[in-house]
Amino acid sequence: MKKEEKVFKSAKVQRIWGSALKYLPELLEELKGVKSDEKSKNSLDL
Amino acid sequence: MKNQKILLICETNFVYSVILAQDRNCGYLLDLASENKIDIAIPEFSFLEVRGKIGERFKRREEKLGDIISFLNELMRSEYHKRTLYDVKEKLKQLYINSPKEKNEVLQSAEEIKSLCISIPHNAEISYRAFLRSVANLPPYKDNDRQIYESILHFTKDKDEYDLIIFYTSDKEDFDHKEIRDELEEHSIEVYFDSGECLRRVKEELEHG
Repeated sequence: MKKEEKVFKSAKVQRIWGSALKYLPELLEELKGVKSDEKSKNSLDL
Repeated sequence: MKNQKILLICETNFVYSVILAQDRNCGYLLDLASENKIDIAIPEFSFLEVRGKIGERFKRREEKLGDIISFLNELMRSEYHKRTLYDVKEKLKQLYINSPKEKNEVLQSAEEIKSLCISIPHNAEISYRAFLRSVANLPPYKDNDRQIYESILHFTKDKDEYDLIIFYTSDKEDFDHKEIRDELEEHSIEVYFDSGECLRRVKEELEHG
């Protein structure tokens, strides 16, 4: 897990986030409406 | 000042945004739900959609890996290819063997999200209302979206205990229609298509009521 991703208070959310993406990179292309942080103009870096 | 009771309703894309680590704002919102600061409700239909899509994707991947491994076996009948392709084949075999475990981990993430949220039940009446919606040619126009939308309307009918109800979806194309906005307004539901704006609104309500 990247250091920058350790931002969630909940261990469960942290775990879900940490295990994300590595298994399904190709799925992203199929999913309309799912945007990355980079694209979200209103992303809040808490 | 009393604690504000906030209900955030999300749909399929929210689950994908979290399990694919694509939108940190959605992670923050889930964090708030895990701390019981807000309630997040997601239609049961959305979780089934996620499960179906992930299962389908892994199946397709396994079939492709199987085809490639078979082809490599054919090529490796020659000694030359056997030497050069051995490592490639072993790695692909490992991917193939690990596939069910990886699928389970992804599905487990979806289950964990579900455990932090209220799952909006689906029933025959909701399906029927979605059908009527299609007959009346009312948005959203995709069948699954209609099912999800009707389950949300049904769920929010008697939710007077909340000070604020928000519907968040990143799917502006399918949900941003005048009819939907008007209907949600009638149900006193605010709608957001941007996760940052949605998170800002939730935090504002939590901080200032």
